[in-house]
Amino acid sequence: MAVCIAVIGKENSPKYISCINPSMELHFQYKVHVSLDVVEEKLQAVSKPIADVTKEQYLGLLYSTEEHKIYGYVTNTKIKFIVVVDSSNTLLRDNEIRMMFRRLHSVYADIVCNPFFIPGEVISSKKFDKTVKSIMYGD
Amino acid sequence: MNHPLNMPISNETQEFSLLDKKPLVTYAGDVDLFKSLEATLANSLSSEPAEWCRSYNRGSKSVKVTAEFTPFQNDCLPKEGDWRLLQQPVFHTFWTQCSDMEMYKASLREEIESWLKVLSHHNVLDWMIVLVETYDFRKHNKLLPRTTVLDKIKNDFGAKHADRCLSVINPLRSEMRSGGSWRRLVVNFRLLLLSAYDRLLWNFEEKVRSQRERRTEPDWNFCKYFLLQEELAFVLAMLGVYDEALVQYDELDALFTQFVLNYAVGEVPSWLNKFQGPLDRWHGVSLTQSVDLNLRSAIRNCSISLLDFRCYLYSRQAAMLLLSGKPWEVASRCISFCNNCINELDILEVSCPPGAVACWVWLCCIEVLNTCQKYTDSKVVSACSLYTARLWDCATKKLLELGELCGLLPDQEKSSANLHAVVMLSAGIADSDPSEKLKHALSSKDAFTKEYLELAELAMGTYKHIGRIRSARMIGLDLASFYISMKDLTKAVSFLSSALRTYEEDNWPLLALQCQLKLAKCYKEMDDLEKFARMCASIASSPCLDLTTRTHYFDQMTSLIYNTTDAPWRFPLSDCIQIISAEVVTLEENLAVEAILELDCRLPSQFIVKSIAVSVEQLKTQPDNRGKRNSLIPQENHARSCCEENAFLMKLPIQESFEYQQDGSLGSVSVVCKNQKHHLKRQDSQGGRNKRLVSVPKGDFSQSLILKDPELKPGRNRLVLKSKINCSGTFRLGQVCVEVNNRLELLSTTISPRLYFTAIWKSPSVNLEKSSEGSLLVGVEERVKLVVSTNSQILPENSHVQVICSGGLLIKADDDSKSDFQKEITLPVKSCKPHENLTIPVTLLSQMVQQKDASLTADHTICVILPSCDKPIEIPTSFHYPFIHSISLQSAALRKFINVLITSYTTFPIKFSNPQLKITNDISSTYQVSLTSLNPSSEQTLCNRTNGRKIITFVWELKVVASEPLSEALAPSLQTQFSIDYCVQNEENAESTKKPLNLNFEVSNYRTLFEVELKVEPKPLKANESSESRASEFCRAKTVCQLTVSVMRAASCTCSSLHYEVLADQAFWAVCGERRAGYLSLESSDKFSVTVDVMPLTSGFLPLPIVRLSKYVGDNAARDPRWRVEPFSRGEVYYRNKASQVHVLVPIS
Repeated sequence: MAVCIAVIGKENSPKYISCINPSMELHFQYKVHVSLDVVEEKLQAVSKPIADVTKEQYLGLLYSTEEHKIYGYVTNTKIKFIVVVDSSNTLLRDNEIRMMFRRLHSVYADIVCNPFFIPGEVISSKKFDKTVKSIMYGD
Repeated sequence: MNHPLNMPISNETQEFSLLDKKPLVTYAGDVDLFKSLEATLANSLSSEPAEWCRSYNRGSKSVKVTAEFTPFQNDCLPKEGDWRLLQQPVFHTFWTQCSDMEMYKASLREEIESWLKVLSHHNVLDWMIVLVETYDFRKHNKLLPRTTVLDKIKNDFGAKHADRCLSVINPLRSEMRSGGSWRRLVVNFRLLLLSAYDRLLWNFEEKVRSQRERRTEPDWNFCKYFLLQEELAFVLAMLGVYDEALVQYDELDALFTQFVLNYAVGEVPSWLNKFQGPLDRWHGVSLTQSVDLNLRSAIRNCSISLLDFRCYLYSRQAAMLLLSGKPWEVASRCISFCNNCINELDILEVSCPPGAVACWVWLCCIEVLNTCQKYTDSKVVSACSLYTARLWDCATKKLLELGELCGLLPDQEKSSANLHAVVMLSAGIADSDPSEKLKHALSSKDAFTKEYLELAELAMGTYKHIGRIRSARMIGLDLASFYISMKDLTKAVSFLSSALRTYEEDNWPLLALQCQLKLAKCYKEMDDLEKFARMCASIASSPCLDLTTRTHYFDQMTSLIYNTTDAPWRFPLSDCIQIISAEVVTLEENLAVEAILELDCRLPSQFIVKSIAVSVEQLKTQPDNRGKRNSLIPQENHARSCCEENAFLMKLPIQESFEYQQDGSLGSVSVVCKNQKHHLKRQDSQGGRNKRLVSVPKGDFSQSLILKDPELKPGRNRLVLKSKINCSGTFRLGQVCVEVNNRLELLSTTISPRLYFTAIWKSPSVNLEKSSEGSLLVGVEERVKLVVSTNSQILPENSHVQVICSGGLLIKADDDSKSDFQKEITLPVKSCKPHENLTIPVTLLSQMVQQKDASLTADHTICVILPSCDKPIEIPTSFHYPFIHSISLQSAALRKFINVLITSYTTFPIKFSNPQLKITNDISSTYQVSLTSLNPSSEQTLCNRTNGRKIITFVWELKVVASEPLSEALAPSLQTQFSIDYCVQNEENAESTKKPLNLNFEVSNYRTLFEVELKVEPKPLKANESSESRASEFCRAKTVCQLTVSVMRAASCTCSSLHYEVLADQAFWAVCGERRAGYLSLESSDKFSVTVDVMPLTSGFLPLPIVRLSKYVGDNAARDPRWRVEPFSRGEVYYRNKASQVHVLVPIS
């Protein structure tokens, strides 16, 4: 379903990037990096209305290119999840994208709960890898 | 049945504008009358908007009603199934000015009837009959108005529609009067016209819906359906309801998209095949108000290409958006429109010539951008620029794609294939502004370069303007590649550097590495060796790269720094080495400071450097006391290290907190984090933590901790840097400098958090340590220790300590048993490190000398001179006397005794033996004096004060054997020497030897010259009383008694004028009379008596009053100025009654 999934730290540095096609990683890094512009823009726009308790974490479509559509999600601690999907994958609904993010957030929360994980470090976990792969393949 | 959608459009022009279209309204009846009113009516209708209240709960809209009037004709009425709404008249009017009933009955009624018949035949219900009247003053004056023509018309035709029959006063004839009626007409006209549309559209929508329901049927055609629903959009647009018109187009867009998507899963309706034909033209979208009839007819003929259809649809949507005043929506939709089209071309497998799609996208982008640029309102511009940035970006990329295809890139050679591509692409584009631009850009390399750079500049500028720096950097990278191909490396470098900065700020190592690789290549070509070397160092340290490549760059760097002859290069340390932690350790025994640095060297192989140093700066003022101080001298030695603290891993200082209620009972218990502001401080707000350092200035390394010739291995290195500190003060660590060789220095920023240490200089000190408790004693050998603390000083090898004692004190080294006590000694000492104690055992002897005053101590000073210390160290010491001695002359009438008193002040016994007193001066010529010892010959012991004797007395009788007459003046004074052996028996000196003590005294005035005798008797009461009776009485208190003072000469002397004085204790005695003091002369006799009245004040045994005898010096008669009273010295006058008492009885009551 997705071709690339990235976790970006609150300081905008990459904490985890995985692609279906590993040779494309550099290409996707550029794309994900550029998408941070839109994420920041949206976060600034969101922060204006004060005290919105049920803050929407799903940022929706950040931008699209001929080949890809890039979606964003941000946690309350400003951890960003970026999902890149193929533009040709027209059957993908918004709801399914949300679902991906929800799964990603949940597995990320598991990682952070691990007492041996140092927050802010790059994520290297087999379990996380496995879940991300399964999200990408749409299992 | 002729299908309405197949009907040709009568208008032959290529396009038409909906803005020119107006609702059609027919007029019938009195044509001349209507013609005269037409202009007025048209003006009135559009003068103000009307509320369009629509049925079926649709929201009402405010609509400005306009109308175009056509004469009523039979064949203009819509036929069944004709849905060309724009050409149909929707509202029909009948005009008359007949006021004559007869005339009405004769012709008009018939005329209206036939008109209505035609209308009803066509199912038209939207009509209106207007009776234009001339204002008639007389008519209104009639009391009972006759039935008018209007009444008749209403009666005949308007049974159900009274509002459709109106009379109006002709405004042309009497403008004043017609106002009300005319307004009513206009309002009704508008309402009826709009309700006509409401009905019409409702029916039409029904039709559209039913058509859409049939979309799965095989003979259904999207193109035909499109034109049908577009009619609805046309009408809505004509009425000015652009947003609803847009909804119609959006619905069509969604429907078409769905068909295409369904194609992907195998549902292929036959009409869709028409869209799959190969692409032969790629005209861009044209954003004009008007409807492109060529395209529309192509749709009608089902001969339109996918791109053209999409363009038509998009241009209609854009037109609606522009009419609604939302140009930014056009821009925002454009990019997804282009992407979607490309996607659809792909899905529908439309074969496109290479570059055609790029051309098309470029043209679309430029057209939209041109449209947006027409707006100058700043609000609109800023709303647009959010989306136009992406369009500029897209256009830039597409142009580059085209340039590559056509061989227009700077490093490309143009081939015939490229030329062919240019011709082919140019052939497929229409004649429009963007097309001309594109054709020009593709015509030559220069034109292309100019256009490309211009676009890229605009894209980048717009991105920066809206704050999308990362997107701008991406274009920068493309531009850099372009400039590299143009061989303009300077520009490329500037773009790459700013991109690198962004990637490093965001901490994206892989992307930063890509920039660095490119930059390294540029710098190498530019022959900028310093920057090339720096890039090499950074690349060699990148974790994202394989080891061989890193080693390659590392080797390049090392070869550069050993071969270049430039001035030393200074690179930031953080490029390749990271400081993990730093720690300051003070080594007190060496007077040195160590910095322990933990460095993470990311270079791929071992790095031999010349030195690593940390600069040390001295603080002028003390830093605030936050436990950062490292003391050099004091023992507290908290070595503080600085390493990056991860806020997430810090333990929060949580404390219990009890809250009590007013009555003292526990209200709540909680845990509280103290200083939570510090811990909750946002870290990201500090920002710029990963900022790339351009250059680091080298600080002051005049004072530094240094490590020579270390080896830096890849990975963690623990290095110990050392330095001696030569002055005191508080210091802090500055920056780290890794000096690789003379050519390269790696400099860090200031180590943070700051590390401090304090160095204190303390000069050596010497203490005297007694071997036992208690004070040092005079005259006893005291073993003590001189304890030398070197403190901050070093005692070198083979050094000597000189000890000098003040007068009366002698010293002897303990290990030197041969030599005697000396005033000063020089002792060899072993070498000593700082903060070591050196103990020198010595024996001190304070010499027992004759005590001059009553003090019990003898104060001395010991001076110690250390080899490395310029100032001698003085130790004041006090010695206590173990005993004190005193000598006195005692008298017993004429006999004289010399008394030597020794008083102990020690806690241990002292033995005395062999006391001797000798006269040392020679007085034998005038006197013969002998001393007779009255002392026991055995040894006497003075014990401590509590259990034993405290005092020893030695007595000698002094006998004067006078050979000469006693009339001589004073006896000569005697010089005597008292000598005794003493032996102190304290714990240390239990077996100590006897020591001789010799004391010299002078004894003078040792002859008794006068004796004084006192007698107190009761005073005789009567003069004739016998002395016997008186003698038997006693003295009584409060009764005057008689004191008889008798002075007798004991030895001959020249002195005979004497003065006496009665001194009585005023508590016991009251001395009466003038004879209490007076002159007496012993010139005539050797005895003299005087009686003084005294009164005892109390009863009991009272001490006798004292009489003081003094002598006169000088001659009173000769008026000698020296004439005065002088006391006798002790021993010259013997008071017989000294310390005797008299018994005084209680007074008689």
